[in-house]
Amino acid sequence: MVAQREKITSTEGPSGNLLQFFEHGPTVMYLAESSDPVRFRFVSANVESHFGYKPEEIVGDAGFRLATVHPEDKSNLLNGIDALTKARSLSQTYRIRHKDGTYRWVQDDLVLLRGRNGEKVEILGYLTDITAQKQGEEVLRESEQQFRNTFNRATIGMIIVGLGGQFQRVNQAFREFVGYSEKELLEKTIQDITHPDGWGATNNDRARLISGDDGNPTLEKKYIHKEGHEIWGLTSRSVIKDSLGNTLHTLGQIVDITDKKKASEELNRQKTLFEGIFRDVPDGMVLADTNRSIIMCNPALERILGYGSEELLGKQASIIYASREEYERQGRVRFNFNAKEKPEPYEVNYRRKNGEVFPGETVGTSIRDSQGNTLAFLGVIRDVTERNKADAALRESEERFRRSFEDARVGMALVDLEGRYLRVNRALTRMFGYAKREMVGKRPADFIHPDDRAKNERLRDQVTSGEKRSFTNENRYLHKKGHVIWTEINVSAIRNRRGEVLYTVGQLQDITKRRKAEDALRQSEKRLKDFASLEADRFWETDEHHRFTYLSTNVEKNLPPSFDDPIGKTRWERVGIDSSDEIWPRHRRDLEMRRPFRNFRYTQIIPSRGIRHFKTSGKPLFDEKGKFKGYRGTTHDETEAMEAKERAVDLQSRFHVAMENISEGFVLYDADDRFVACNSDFLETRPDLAKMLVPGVPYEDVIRQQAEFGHFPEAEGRLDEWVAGQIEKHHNPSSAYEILRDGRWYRVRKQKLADGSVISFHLEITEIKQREEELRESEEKFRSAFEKTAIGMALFDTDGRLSLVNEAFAKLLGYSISELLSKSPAEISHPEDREKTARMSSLILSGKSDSEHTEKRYIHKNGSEVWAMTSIALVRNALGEPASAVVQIQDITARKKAEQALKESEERFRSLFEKSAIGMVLAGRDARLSLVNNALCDFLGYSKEELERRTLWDITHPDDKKETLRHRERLLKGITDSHHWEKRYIHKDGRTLWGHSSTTLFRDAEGQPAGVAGVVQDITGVKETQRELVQASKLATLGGMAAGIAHELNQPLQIIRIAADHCLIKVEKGLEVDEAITSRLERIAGQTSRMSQIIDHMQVFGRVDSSESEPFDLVESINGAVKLIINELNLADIKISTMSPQTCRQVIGHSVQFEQVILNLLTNARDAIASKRQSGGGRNNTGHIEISVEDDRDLDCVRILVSDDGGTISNTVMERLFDPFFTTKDTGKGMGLGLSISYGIIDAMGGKIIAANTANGVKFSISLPVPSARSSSFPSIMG
Amino acid sequence: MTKPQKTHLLIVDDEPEMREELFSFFTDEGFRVTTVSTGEEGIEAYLADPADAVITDIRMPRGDGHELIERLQAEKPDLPILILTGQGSFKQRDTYLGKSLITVLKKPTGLREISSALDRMLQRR
Repeated sequence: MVAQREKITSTEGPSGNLLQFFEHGPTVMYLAESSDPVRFRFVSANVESHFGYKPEEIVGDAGFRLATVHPEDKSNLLNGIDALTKARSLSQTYRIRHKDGTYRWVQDDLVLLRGRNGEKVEILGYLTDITAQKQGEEVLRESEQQFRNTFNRATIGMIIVGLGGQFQRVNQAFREFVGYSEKELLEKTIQDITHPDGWGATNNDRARLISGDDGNPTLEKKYIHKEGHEIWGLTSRSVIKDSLGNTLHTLGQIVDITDKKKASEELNRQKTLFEGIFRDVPDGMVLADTNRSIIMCNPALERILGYGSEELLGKQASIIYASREEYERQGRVRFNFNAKEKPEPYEVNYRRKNGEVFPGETVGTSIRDSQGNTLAFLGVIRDVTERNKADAALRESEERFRRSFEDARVGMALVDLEGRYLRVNRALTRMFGYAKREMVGKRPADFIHPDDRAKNERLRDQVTSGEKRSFTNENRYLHKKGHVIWTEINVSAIRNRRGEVLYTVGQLQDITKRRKAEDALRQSEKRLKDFASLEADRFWETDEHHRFTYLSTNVEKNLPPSFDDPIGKTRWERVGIDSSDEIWPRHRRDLEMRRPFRNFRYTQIIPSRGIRHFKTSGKPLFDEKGKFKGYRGTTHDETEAMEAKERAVDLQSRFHVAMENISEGFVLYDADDRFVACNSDFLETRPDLAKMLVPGVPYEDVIRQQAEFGHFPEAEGRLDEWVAGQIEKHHNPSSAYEILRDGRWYRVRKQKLADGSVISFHLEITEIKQREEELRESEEKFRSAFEKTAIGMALFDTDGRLSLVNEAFAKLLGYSISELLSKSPAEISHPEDREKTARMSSLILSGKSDSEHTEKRYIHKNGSEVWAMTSIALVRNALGEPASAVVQIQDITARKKAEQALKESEERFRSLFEKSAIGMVLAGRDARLSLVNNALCDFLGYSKEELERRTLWDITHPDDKKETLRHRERLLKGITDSHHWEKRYIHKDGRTLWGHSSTTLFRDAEGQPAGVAGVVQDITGVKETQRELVQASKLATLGGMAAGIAHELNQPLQIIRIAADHCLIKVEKGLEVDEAITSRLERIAGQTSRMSQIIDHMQVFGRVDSSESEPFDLVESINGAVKLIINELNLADIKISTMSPQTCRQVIGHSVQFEQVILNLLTNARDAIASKRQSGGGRNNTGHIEISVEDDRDLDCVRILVSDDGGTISNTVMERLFDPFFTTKDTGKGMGLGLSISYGIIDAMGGKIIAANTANGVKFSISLPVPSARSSSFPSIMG
Repeated sequence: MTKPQKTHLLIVDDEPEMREELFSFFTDEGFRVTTVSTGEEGIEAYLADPADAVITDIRMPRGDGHELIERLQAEKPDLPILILTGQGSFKQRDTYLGKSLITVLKKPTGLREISSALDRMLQRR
């Protein structure tokens, strides 16, 4: 062809033969002026057969070319002619309107012919009709478009890669997968986005693939996302070859399996983690199967038990228990299928390899699968031997204290800070005569003599306030029987490490006897003093006959006035004198002899005063001549003195008795420090003093000699100083002091009496001292047990403050002990655990619980979190009331952190699984769906519970079951590692779903194949799109056929109709035919119109894709529709009115289709009116159709309203109005496609059609979009 | 040529049965009827014996209806032409619809519709 053209241009013009050729040939030749517009000078005659125009219609018509070229191609054409002036030849394709109105594609090859001087002469052109070829291209383009759409819209990443690895095409899914834009990718090679680890493999693999060796058609490959992170793709590759078999490029399909990979890496990590925990925890861990045979144990357990793991594995767990019974008991309690989970620790005795039995704090749990079936038992064992030893030491120390307290011979009492007896010993109860229970909880004041209470309280306050360490006092108590008990009480405070007083210990010694002696002594002293001070002398004188001549009255003044007058009477003649007593004759003899007498004693009974004792002394009196005149003397009433003396003698003896009876030593020195007396008790303990202690020995000698003999260790090496000190104390006795003599302790109390003499009591307190010592020792033991144990321990009081804290406790929390003592448990607890801590503390301190265990968090001084197993135990006082709480804490931070990490990692995995948008499933060996995620549930339409009760076969499409089974078996047998394919699933509602299934073998903890893990990606949409594409092309073909068939069918129909009508008309005109025939003829005629309607729809249906959308005037289109039906409407007596604006903007679409829509609405309206009339609506009330067009320039759409008065439609009908094959017309009247097709047409035009009821009919409203700002300038192609 | 006052009707249709039915009916109705099977024959028949009205199909072999109509109109612009067509639409339709002496009826249609349309055009002439 090209050669031919060359030939033609080289000649002066078309030769005859060539003309011949062009008359019939496929190419139209023309010559045209090189002017603009192009004016044709010659066109070959075959133009008519190709384009319908005769050459003479073309030649000379300057406007022909522009008028016939498709408007869209005009600008190209003009540019083309411009270009031709520059180039010599040019080839253009454009559309030309055939005379029949259709457009044809032409190829226009032009050559510019120039004259000898190079001036433009004319254009020689060849027009070739390439419409068929163009249509072929169109088909190809469509197919290409389809492919492109599939490629671009695929949810799986798709790439086309050149042989050099450079990207040629990448789809959206792939771009999203790697994060690059299309532009970025097209500048890269496959290696640029491949993870360096995979470079070698990728290159080898590609080389093999390109060379024709299939290699692995799919592989899992690591890519690098634009943001730098790793992503995993499941890549399938294939080679694309040209028709000669040369490889052009490779096609890759990549499914994003990053999540899956991550999940499996996470699983691996967790496994490693778990193994690490198992290996590193300080607690022994043992895992036993359901037969309690050991299947796993950790190094810590080996360490604790002394066995190597090989000695334990496979053995019954009884090997680690202390006894068979213990083993069986634990089996009954915990390690069985029915046991409830009790995660609290318990203590059990175990046996080490060396036979040693030790207590182990254990947490035993069952390990269950998701169905709750027990798989194994886990025991976490901690050797608590050391802890228990510390506990035991504490207990022992407490016990010793308790015993020494209880068994003491002196009375002992423990008094709390509120002043109540917490505990009293036997000796004390004996002393007071009360039972123990009668005393505990009461106050000492309840037993103290009222006179001593105040003082005792004052002294106690001094001790509890810390002012004094102890006090000693003499207190009177009241025995239960009411008598007074004198005691010497020594009270000292027991303090905690902070120096705070916890309680007081009182030791009481019964000193009642001593006090009695003291009293006796005091009384005797008083009497002696009275005796000494007695002065009651009377003076008297008698005459020579011994008759009284004078008697001083003072003696008598207390006598009754009637008592006898002594004057003139002799002494023995007086009333109340027994003169017959033998004393009188001797006295009268003395008087006769005129001898003086001294201390003559006699008694006289004086009324109301009883017997009085008198003593009298007298001297004879003589005058100057020596003549005896009488006696003169004094008389003493010594009655009182006598009585006092008698009493004194009595007292003296009683004092001695008392002195001897007191249980302590008693010594009396006089004011000159000379020894007066001591009791035998004093001497018994100091036998060496017996010889020395004679009355009159000075105190200093006594004390010095004893010291020299070495009795007092205190005096060693400082004798003089010590003796001086003792003497000072002797002279100024104040409080009692303690002294050690010969290994025995005495408490010495000295007292100075009024005459300066000093008495001292020596109470042996050796035993009390020992008690104190024991108490101190016990406290020390307790303290050291408390302080040295490795377990953190603390004591907190009822006020919630830590009162005692040990080193381990402080160390655990990073504080010093003193820092902690000012804190409350809440302050050092983690904020989230404070409430729990407070709750536990109050449970304990309120006495509702004796002990509580928990795992809780503390805050280390440095702010970090410390996990500790915490036990709080109640300490009650002797009343059984909660007094304080002991806290024991053990650091479990490492374990907790590991647990936490495991839990978090598990949660992460779970959320990864649960939140994945891709379906995931674990199907066990029995094909049960033991684990499914939400995405899979959503995909299949089941709830999780429903799905987990089903098997793989319930969700697999029957046609894919065999294949699925085959893949499963290959996986389970280990023949393949994974499998990827597209398979069909069954939705709960029975629908078939397509999924991209990737399956891998799932192994249990022993590494045995346990099932198949699958990842399912919903590709139903992709599959459906594919199917719809096929369906659409089928429909298009059908549509094309329908249009042809329609025309052909109308012909016979027409004939049938006319024939039937003809018969009917003949019948009308009188032809005799029976009515049955008439009605059948009518039926035939009626059926033809029904068929005709069907055909109409088919025609529209078939036309959908046959031409381009173009702007059209919808008013014209509406008028066209009205014209088509106006005859029928007139016949049916239905009025139609059309209202439209003067100018209306054009809309884009197919005017014929739109006309069909209007026609359809009008037909429906007509049928509705007819049916309403038939049902009795009446001819007068109905029969009007209105069409109105509204073009509001402010809006970007035009609206068409079609309304009738043929009655309203129900809501249910309204809902389905636009559904295909839905009709309300009588069978045979309509096939129900009209409105659905109308809907489709309007939708394709970008518009909307809706229906609504009016007062007496239906109004359809169509709105169609108007191309913006183009309505006026857009030329109408059809003119 | 029996009765000159009879209205002469030319029927152009490629379907013999169609021609027969129309012939039979319109003859009964008192028309003088000529039937031909192609457009070309239609022109020839008209030129030989001009009719008062024409009923024609569109799609026919050898000279379709449009061509016939064009030629007839060229001969006699006020000739009533009734077009019976199986095609719902075609390009010239709008042109035809604008003319009062051309009526388009879509096949299949009833005899009464054909007859009354023809009557209306004849009266309008």
